[in-house]
Amino acid sequence: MTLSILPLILEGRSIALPAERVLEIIGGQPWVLLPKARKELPGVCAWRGRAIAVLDIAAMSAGLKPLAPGEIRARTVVATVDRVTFAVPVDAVHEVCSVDESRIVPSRLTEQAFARHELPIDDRTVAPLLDLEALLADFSKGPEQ
Amino acid sequence: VKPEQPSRGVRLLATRCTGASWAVDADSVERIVRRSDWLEQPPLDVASSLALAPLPDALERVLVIHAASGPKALLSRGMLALIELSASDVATVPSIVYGGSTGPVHSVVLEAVGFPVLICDPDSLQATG
Repeated sequence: MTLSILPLILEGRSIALPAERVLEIIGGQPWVLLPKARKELPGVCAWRGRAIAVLDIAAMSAGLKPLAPGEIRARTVVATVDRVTFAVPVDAVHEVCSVDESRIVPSRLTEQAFARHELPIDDRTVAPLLDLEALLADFSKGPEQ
Repeated sequence: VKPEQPSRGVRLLATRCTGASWAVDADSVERIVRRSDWLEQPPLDVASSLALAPLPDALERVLVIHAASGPKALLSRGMLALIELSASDVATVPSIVYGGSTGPVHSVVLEAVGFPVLICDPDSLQATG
């Protein structure tokens, strides 16, 4: 069995997202900061006539700089899980790759919130595999101030 | 501003701040009073609650509105504007942003008026402010 993976790049760091969760990849999008929102979901942006939550992976990654108000990253990955849609601003997106499930192993070389597994996305790079279901379950508990 | 669709229209009373505006349903506004003439309990400073920066030399007014819990006095520091929009220009804030609960901003106007407008729920604003 293989899993299709979309590798994202954020400040030079690779992060893998299950491709089945991706609805669309678009350019940089302006977004609006919302007061009292948790730092990982700092605001909303427009997508297909509605507002969707901005998911800032950097805000939940040690060593990465969270989105500043008004900052726009070059690409936006629109992803969905359990009917919740997120806009994920990133610096770059690579081609979808297929990875044999046997190569997805518990995280040992990488450390990333909401990623308990990691996988090689090329000969030199191991990336954490973001678990959007776990992320959504945690965020649904309530805001983190 | 799209006044040509009044049947499906939304009317907002917006206070312009730096980078964004905050707004309430214009039809909920009972009266507008100059801040210097307001002698009752101090009004809720909405811009401060929403971490918005008022425009320099902004005029201060008190908006008395009908909220679900009763009358509320909101401090408006900035340029007031009546905005008329189509309902489709207003987008609901996804509940996940506030962890499934109610936040101080229930809807936004992202593109229709050239600057973002945060539409407030005065009761939640007071509760979270």
